[in-house]
Amino acid sequence: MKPIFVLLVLLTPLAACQDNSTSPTTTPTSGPGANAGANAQEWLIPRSQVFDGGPGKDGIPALENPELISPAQATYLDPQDLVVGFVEGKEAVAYPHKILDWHEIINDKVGATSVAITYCPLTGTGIGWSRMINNVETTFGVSGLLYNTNLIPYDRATDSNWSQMRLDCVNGELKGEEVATLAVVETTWATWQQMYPDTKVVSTNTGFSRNYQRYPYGDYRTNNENIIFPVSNQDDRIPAKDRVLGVLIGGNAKIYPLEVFAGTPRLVLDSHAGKLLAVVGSQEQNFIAAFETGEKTLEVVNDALPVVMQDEAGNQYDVFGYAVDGPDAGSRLTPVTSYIGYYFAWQAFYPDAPIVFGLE
Amino acid sequence: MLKYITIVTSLLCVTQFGWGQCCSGGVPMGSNIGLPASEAGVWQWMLSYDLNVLRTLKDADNILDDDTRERLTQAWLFQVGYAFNSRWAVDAFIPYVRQERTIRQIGLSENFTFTQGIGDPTLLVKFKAATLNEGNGEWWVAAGPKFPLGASDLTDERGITLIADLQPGSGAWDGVLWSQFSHQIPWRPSMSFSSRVIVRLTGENDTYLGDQVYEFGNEFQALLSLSDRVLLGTILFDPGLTLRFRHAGRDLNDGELVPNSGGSFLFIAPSAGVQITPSLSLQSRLDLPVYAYVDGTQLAPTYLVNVVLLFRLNRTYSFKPGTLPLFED
Repeated sequence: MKPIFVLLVLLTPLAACQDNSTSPTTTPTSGPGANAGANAQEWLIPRSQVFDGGPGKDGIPALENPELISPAQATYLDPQDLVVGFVEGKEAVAYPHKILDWHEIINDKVGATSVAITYCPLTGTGIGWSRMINNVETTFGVSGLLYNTNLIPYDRATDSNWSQMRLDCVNGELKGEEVATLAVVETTWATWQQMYPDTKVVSTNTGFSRNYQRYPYGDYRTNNENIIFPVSNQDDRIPAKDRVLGVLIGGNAKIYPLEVFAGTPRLVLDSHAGKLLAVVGSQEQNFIAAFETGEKTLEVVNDALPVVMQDEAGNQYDVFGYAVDGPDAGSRLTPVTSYIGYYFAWQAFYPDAPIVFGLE
Repeated sequence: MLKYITIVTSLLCVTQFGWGQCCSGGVPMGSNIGLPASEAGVWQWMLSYDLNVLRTLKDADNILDDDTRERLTQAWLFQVGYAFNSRWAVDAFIPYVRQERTIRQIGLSENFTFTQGIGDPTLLVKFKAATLNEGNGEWWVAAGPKFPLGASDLTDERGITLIADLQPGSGAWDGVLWSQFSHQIPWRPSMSFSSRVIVRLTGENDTYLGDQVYEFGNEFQALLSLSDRVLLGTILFDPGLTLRFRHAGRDLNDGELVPNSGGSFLFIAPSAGVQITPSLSLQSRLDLPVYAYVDGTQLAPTYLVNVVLLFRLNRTYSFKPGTLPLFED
């Protein structure tokens, strides 16, 4: 036993010095792409619930002004692949999940609009962000941090960190600023082409070598038990990975599961946070969108995509709420902040959100 | 000869069971653990340095044209061993680990993160299972625990907790199995052949990121080595060549497979050593990957460097109550 005792004696000082010898550190401390803004210690969210996702800052490379191609050229897409669609004037652009899964943020300019499509594969949330902050154009990058397992983009003008699902800046110089969202529609590639046959779509020629035909997170999309980073407020009223639309008004959310809109387009006339809402969607065609109705009386329109609703005056509205035909053509229903995401993510961020479980 | 082939084959096959998984970086388990066999009463001290450079981005077995990310794992490993007699020995080792992550995207500033600290120490109890061919061949087996003393919850300077792969410790009790067969080549006594198998059966870290349960994948390594000893002038020189296979299973997080973790790797590793004094030797090895298959997309090893300083102290041991342990010639 004596030799074992000697071994333990020899190893004890090494083990004992552990506390003093571990010195976690990150550098550098300034410059775009570094951690300058993020080094500010003040966070609007609990810092203990912010985690390093693994790849590191810009380890998941955001895209800028990606090459766009026609649908005929986009042979890498299958009809049921999901895309995040954006329309500006007569320009329609589809940002496929197959690209966003690997890049999470696409900084683009469509028409005169500087847009960043921010997408978090872990919460399934695709949101259009304006790239104009205080009248200054910026681009967003992937900070490598997660809050409630949700993407934290950073802006490259100030290196401030933003919460994708909270839609505000949570750390850095711009802390407290809110995101100006731009309406997007998440749907299948087939439905998007049906809506906007002249659309452009992001090419796989991104400048980065990735296998865009492979989903990088295994069974994550369908395994309700698999949530990689800690989240708060989980419940099982709806399966964790069911896709739902959340409507945000004044920081209050209301949740509309996609499966409530079974079959062809259906319309929910509802109210939330003092606003009258029209929520239109189709599980079969895989889209859902929400608008303020004001005093209008709306009804659903089938088989006329992108037109989904019409009012008593004969105005027909497309999926972005634009009146595309009728006496008020060119006007727009007031958009509300809304986006699709996994149910567990909405529950984590907005645990008090009421859920619409069915249509009358 | 047939029985030797049988033994080697069985050594390489015996551990093909139930892999958990592990990523290609992560908490290092050196391939040079387990000190050489020695005579009874001999103390051995070994200081080794491992550098694992991962900058080859792979998708399954395809190399992606991307050099924007780099992971470095450096481990300084201090080993000490004692042979009780010709059959029983004990080794203990403790690593000091530094993990680095660097991202260099065009047009953006470099982003660099590192942690460092004492890793998880391991204790191996070794047993000589067989002596073959009048002492020209030996088969040793060993087993022991790996203690979760290394930190597994280090944060960056902002106080943000880093993932398991960047921690110096795993936060889990692991079991380590080790087996080594060595034999002198009959027609050239200075030349020897050896095979080594190292298995790490991982446990769970149940305080990962607060209250998650994380388990690195089980790890299997098999090494086949051929080494010789030649006299170059007045220097005893030990050239060698090793073929090393490593399989790391996929990690588990709260019982679910972690995407982009685990893989299989084959290295060819030329080595060289010099006998500095009768009791002190210096060895080095360069591991170059010849094949790698990773689950999903991961950084895979680009090369590994291992440098070992081995000191044998052929002394007896005495201990008097109330004094520090002493060594006597």
